[in-house]
Amino acid sequence: MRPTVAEERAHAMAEQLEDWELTADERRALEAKLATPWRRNGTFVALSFFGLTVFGMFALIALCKSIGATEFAAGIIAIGFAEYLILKRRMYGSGIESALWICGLLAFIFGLPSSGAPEWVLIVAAAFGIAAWRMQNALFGTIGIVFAAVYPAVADHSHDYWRAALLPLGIALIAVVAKWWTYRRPWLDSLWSMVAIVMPLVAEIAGNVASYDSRGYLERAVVFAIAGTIALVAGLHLGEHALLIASGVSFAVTAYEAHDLFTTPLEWKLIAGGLALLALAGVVARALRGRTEGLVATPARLTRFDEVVKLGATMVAGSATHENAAAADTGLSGTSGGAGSFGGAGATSDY
Amino acid sequence: MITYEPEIAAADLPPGTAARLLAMQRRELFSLFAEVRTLAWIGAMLVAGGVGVLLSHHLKEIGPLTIAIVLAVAAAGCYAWAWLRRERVSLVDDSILLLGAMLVSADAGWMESQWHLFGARALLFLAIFHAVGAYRYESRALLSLAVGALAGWLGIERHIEQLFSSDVDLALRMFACAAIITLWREVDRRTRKKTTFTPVFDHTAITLGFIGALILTTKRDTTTLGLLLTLVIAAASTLFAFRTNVEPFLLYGVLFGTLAIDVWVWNTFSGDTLRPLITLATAIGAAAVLMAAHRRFRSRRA
Repeated sequence: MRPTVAEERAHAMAEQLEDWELTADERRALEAKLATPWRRNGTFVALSFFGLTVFGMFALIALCKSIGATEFAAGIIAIGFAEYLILKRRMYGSGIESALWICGLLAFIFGLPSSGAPEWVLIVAAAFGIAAWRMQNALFGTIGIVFAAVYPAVADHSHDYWRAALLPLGIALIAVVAKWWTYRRPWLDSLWSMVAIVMPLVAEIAGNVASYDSRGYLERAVVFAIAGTIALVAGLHLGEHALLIASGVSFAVTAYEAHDLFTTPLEWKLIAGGLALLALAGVVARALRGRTEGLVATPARLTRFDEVVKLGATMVAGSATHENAAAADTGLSGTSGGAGSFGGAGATSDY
Repeated sequence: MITYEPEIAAADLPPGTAARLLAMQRRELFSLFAEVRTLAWIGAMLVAGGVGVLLSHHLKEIGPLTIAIVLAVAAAGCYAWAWLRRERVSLVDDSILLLGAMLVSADAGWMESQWHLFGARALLFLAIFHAVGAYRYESRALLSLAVGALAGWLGIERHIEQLFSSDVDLALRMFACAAIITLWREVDRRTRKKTTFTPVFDHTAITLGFIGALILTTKRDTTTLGLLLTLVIAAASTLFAFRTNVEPFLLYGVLFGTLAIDVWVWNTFSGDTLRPLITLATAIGAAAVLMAAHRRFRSRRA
């Protein structure tokens, strides 16, 4: 039906071997011990299969509609084929069956007559929840919880920030507490990690959208600062990177909410904030220098995409700087073709 | 939280390795390396962003020359910091170096916008400056800025909508840029045995080549030529993946190839049933090809 606890743990361990600095012999031996009958793929390959399958599902739905069949037919075909791949071909984590399951369920939902009721977010949440349970997929689970958490923001028309933000914020705190338990199934641990990371942001966005107000307020800044501090302390105590990232997200929301509390111009806030972060990083790096136990600074990575994300984001940040600089000279923002919008940090000649 | 202590204890690993892994699982060792580096990188980005806003808001108060001098001094300070500490590099030094490079970029763009010193060639000079910095400091971040400036000099837009709105000229410029980067890569690889820059060159060149070919595929006049070019590049990318044991190039080949076929189908055929039918068939075919290639790739690596 699906991998046992031991098999799922073996899969999760196999994905971490690259970070464990093993010799080639040690790695081979461990890989042999962790082998299971399930056919899985690494992150990049699974993402490629997932994308191809989603692409194919769009075509299948369009095809079904063009021949007079409904989205339900596409949904049944997709889920039936996913189950065939899982039960007969032992594929679990290849990227294909996850895409078939979620696209199949979403095809069902989009085939339903639309009444415009806000409960649609709960139906989508349920779809992602079912797919998460079937595929042991933490990302689907997180998306499902996000949809459930924004229900008050969609359904409530009081335009009250806290009515919309309280549920996601509460779920974020539950996730932080849930990380205290030791789980047997790795996907449940990943689920709580992802929920702890995204929920502070979901709370802020849902609150701002519901209240039609993006101004910063002291009480919101204080609440998110407290949430961030709780996540930071828990992360350092438990040794959990996910909670440290969650605390970073909460502190970023705190900074955003605090931006209206000071009359200092934006540019000086950005520069001062950046210098403060650089100084903080320098102090922590200095404090960790030479340590060999407890908190250390030995090379490690949070994800396999650390460098790619940083290089990509550097280009985006450079583009933003460029647009601001361009606006200073021409009164316009952005570029409109021709040479020069590829440079970092304002480096172009097409102002 | 999760721990794999039972599995590691039962894995018959050498005592030293097992002890190290168990210490990690028990969080007796907990590295903040990535967090500290990310914090420093965000700090550098915020400062660079703040400088960008500063340029747009305070031109009249500060004056162009003062801004140019202050940016140059700040950038020189960052480079000097990184240079003086090159023997005892800490976790934040590469972010300070990146900040310096971004300030140089901002300063160069600023001076060009004010005094029009070099015209479009300013970006070429900037690319050379960042490239020298990349080699001097062995920094892939500076190299990516250099490649970005080079692409900008060739007039390549970074926005995704360019894929559908641009003309053949942009595609040719992308091919030219990919060719220059490939040449640069070869020179770098042959002259420096321990280079770490090759992946940056490889991924950038192949992506530019694919996007250039896709632009041709999206245009009705050149759609067949674009498809053929994409398939040729896809075949080369797949061969390269097998030769270098780097799987992402296999994925690029299959994904871009599939996309090009589907764009060509939508450009060439009409009909509400035929188009999705062929798209579905190509998706299934691509998945089957990728599965077979991936299996072969794994068996070769094993």
